[in-house]
Amino acid sequence: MFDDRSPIYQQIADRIKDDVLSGALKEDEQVMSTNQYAAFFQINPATAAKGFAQLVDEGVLYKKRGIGMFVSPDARERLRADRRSRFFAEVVDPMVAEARVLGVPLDDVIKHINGGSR
Amino acid sequence: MRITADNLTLRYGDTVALDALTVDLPAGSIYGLLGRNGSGKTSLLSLIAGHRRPTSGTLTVGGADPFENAAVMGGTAFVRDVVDATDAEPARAALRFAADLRPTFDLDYAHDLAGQFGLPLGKGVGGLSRGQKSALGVVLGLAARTPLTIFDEAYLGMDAPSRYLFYRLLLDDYVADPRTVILSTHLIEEVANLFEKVLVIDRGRLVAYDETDELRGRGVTVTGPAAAVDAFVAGRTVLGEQRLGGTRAATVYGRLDAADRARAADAGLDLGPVGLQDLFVHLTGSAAEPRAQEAHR
Amino acid sequence: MSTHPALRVLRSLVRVYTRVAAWYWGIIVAIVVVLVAAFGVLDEVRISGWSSVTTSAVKYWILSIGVMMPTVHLRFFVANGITRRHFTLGAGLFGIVFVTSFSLIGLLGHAVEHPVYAAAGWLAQLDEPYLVGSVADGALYLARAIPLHLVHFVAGALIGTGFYRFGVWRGIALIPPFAALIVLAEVGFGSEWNPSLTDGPVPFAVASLGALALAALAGLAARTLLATVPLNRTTA
Repeated sequence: MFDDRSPIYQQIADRIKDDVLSGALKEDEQVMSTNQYAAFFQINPATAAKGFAQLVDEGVLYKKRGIGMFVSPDARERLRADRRSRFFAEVVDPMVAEARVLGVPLDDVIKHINGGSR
Repeated sequence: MRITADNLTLRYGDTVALDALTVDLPAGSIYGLLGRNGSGKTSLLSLIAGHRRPTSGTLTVGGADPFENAAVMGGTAFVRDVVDATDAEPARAALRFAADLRPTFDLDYAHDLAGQFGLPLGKGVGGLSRGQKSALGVVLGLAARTPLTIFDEAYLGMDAPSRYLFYRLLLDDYVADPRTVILSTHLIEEVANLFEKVLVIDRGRLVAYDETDELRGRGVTVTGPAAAVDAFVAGRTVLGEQRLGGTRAATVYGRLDAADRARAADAGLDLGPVGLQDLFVHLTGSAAEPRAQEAHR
Repeated sequence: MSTHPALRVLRSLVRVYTRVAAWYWGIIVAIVVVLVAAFGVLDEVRISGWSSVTTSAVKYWILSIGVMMPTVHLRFFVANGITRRHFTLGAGLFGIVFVTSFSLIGLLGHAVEHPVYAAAGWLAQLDEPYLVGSVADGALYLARAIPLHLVHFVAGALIGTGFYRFGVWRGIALIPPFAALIVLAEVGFGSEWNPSLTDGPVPFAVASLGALALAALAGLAARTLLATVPLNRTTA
């Protein structure tokens, strides 16, 4: 469920972001309460609250007083823009570096991506 | 109930069980108390529960000395690894007994919990298996519904399904009715997610106390050429190390910032996270002990 | 709802011991009935069956229950949030209730046995006059039994406290001084040696009130010794 090698609240925030990105959580949809989340995933409620608070700070979630927390209308777009900006640095560059180490021609890589190989 | 200890010391004859321990536990959290056998866990918890008095130093629970304080002791449930119930009486009588003595005790809830653990309530306490005795202790502790509830290795002899049931019941009840819970354990990985904060004690001293999430990732393994590792870890708290030929792996205590990570990458060093269980082993391992204590100063 | 903790202690101890006491008296009655019937068939009834079976047996049973107060019961109460002081107060109240009810049952036994002996014509052939033959005797019986039984209970509690607080060896060493309290009270009544209720070496009122005072002082001593005792992991 969660690993114990990085802060759980961070893993919670990432998990919810993933759900927003994938569309599993729709905009303006209500998310679980921290207590529900804590009970469901068997984690300390304070830890869950910290993860949710971070998402509110980042604008991914917004609070309706007395009702609960909801996905911000622009959350998905913002998360996509954010991840896109890091995509080349965090995903493509290490892949290219690995391909060079292994001597895999970049043309092969591109062909693979385009569905040409296998 | 808030718990504060200031230079808390407990000696049994020549043995120092708690050595000038100072700590502040605000009310309303689940605390994990980690330490090896004989590290002073039970001693600390016994003092908090008013089972004995410290040799020196001060301890307050809910603002008052717990020893012989009716309000504090009545508000505390301390589940020890020995079950405090008469062997000759059936387990049902132990629930009844607690209900008679504790105004906060919820007998219906206790019966419900006993059912979930499959406890044979008609059986004499002395005839229960080790795991069933532990389950009885857990039932008594949860149903007491006290502002301070302490479980001291309460899972002994429980099989994995029973332990997970215990963790789930504890969390569900805590979510419904937040209070102060202290749980001492060796089985860190099973329960770490339940703890808001973790205390690690070793030889009667506090070696780490922080939010569980802060402790996760507090330990880092640095692996690479010996000289580069040596240079990188110089001035840091090294909890342990291994060598294989010219390669050295050092476990370092303390969070690394981005500059540290960049420096490590430049030096060709691999950084890896250390899980809580490993961190605990390093913090309380005898070889690392002198340096581990520096870590918290 | 919020009963005083000492009363909660009392209630719990009464609950624990009611069933045990019922068994105890059931067995005692059975033994007395069998003995008296056997001797009756042989027409050899020379003593009160009830007196001879209960007198010592009840005292030692009360003594042993006194011992169990600190050694067995204390930790269960403290584990359930009761302070030592509330426990000792509640256990003292229990001692009074327990001892009084046992003394009353002792009296009741005589009250049942006396008319049986009278009907069977055994009263005249007894070696000693029947202990409780009138209402006045009954009052005297209680005025002796209750203080004497209380001293046994409290002496037991002190002996148990010695073990719990000071460990096995020092606990054993403390048995003689604590047991001396019992001897003192017995000598005051002249009870074991003197079948009559009022022929003790000191005036009966002195013996009775003295035993009560002895029990009270010993009870306070046990309370003081237990007030700061660390809770052991197991029984003594």
